[in-house]
Amino acid sequence: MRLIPTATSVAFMMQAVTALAGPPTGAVSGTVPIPARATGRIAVEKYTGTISGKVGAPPAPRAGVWIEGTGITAPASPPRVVLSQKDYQFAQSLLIIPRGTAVEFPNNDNDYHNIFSLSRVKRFDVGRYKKSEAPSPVVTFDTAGFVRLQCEIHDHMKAAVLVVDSPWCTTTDATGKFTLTGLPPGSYTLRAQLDEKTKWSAQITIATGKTASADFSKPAAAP
Amino acid sequence: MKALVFLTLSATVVYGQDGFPIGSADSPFRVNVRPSIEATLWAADQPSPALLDLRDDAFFGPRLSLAVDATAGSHWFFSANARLDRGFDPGEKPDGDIRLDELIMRWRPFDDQRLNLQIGKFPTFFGAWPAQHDFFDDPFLVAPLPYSQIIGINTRNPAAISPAAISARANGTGAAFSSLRKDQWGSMLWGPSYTSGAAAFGATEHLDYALEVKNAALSSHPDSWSDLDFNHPTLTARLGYRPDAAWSFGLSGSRGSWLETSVPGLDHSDLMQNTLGLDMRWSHHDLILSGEVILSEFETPAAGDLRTASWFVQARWKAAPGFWLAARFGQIFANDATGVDDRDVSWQPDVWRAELGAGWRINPHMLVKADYSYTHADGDPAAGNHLFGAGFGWQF
Repeated sequence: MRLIPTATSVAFMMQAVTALAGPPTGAVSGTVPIPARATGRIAVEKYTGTISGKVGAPPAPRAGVWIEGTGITAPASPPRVVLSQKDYQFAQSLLIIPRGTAVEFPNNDNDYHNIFSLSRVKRFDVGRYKKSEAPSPVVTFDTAGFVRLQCEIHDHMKAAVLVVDSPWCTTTDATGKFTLTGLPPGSYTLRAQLDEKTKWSAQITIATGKTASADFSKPAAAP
Repeated sequence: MKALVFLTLSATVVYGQDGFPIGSADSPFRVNVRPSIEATLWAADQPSPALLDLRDDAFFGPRLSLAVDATAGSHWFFSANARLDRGFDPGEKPDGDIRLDELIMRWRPFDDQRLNLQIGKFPTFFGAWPAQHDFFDDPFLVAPLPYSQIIGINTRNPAAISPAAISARANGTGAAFSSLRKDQWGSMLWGPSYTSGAAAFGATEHLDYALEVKNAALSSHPDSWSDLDFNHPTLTARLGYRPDAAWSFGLSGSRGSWLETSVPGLDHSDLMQNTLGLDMRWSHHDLILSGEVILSEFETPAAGDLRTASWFVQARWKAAPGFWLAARFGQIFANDATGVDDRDVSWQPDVWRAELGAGWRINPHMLVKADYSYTHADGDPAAGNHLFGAGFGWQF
């Protein structure tokens, strides 16, 4: 059995690895003002032939949070992460990954999914993949930016991949709360992003053994 | 019409992603208004092939669609689709036409797909193509041959398919087959057949089924689809089997009167269209192969049972993200009718059509498609052969 990390566990592992490496670290926490869940396409099959099971609730919106600063870049070999499809929905609404991360897209439904993106940052189409098919399609995201994902077969399925040039990144929970740990002391720009247009940023100072707080009450100016 | 245009443009300007959503995702009541534009430029020989009714060699067919989807809880679904264009079939109403093409009220008693009950005006469940006929789903601009080819059945005037009339067309003294008026003569199936009625359908992991009772036969014209006269209903059923996601097989059957008018001395129940269909699809990664075989029998007052057999296969291959190429080939064959003096005469020429298509999805909302087809009808040199279409779709 392969153990493939999810996006959340990757963020946790990156922070843990940094923490175990020995240097004194700090943390930052805060809340991103995520708006009420937006409506997308209604998840009903107008014509037949593409859905044979129960359609799950869409994943809750989450924002991605990461830090930027002088000399901070994505790790050379970030671990592979998984964004699965189950009950005709993506497992997460947003995945934040360091640049260069490979993302695996397993299909856990009995019908085909066909994940694609026509975003300028990353244009790809994995084709039609079924549940039992191995290996699942894998896409490497080698440019930083916001990538929208869709399923060609199920219009209502939407997700996004936020590719950042930083090893320190995480997603908020459904209420907008986040914590980034294992950060080396120093001054950074903390950024958060919900979609292409909704972004925040704040200047933070990380001190050893302390948790800074971030105020994202106001939208950020475009970087 | 002005209200439709205003609403569409307003929604277009204000919302750019998923139409015009009303109600949050957590609300039991949700509405999504989704306008779209589908504009196609046609160039064709005269008389134009397929179901196009063009007066000139070139024709511009813009279409403005307004789709409304709504849910109440997880068990009720409503959908409507209104269109403003120059005819359901390009050229049919060149001065403009506004229609309610689809109106669906659906109740799903369970959380899964095992049973759905719906009433309204919706595409037939016969075959596989109607479920993917939407501009943004179909790799071609023209429906497959059995869904878009005039055949020698006059659904408005049975006298036109009397033994004498059929014999006259067969020996060249009557009107040429290619000159038959498309508003009078039928197709084996007329496009997606948005007829009105009720349906029960459902799906499990491997099986799906559908049973519908509707107001008009598969061969009927679009202007009969909204006629709420159920005195001569058409019964249609489909049973599907999917061994896994890659394969799909379906068996369809339909029976209903093809006569679209009342004619003294003729009983609709003696003029039935009986149709059987087999559909198949296989897909894997970037390739989709599909095909259908359809047999249809038309009972006539005096010319015997007129039978047609048609088939088509099509392939779509995605060559790059958002870009595909497609090809399709189909044929129609027919038996002989009973002509004058009980002689066997041809009532329908053999027809074949070869098609090439390409599509480019510029972004999730914009699509460009091109389609070329060559249609050949045996023994009818006047029939138009070439048809080219280039279409642009913008789904807001």
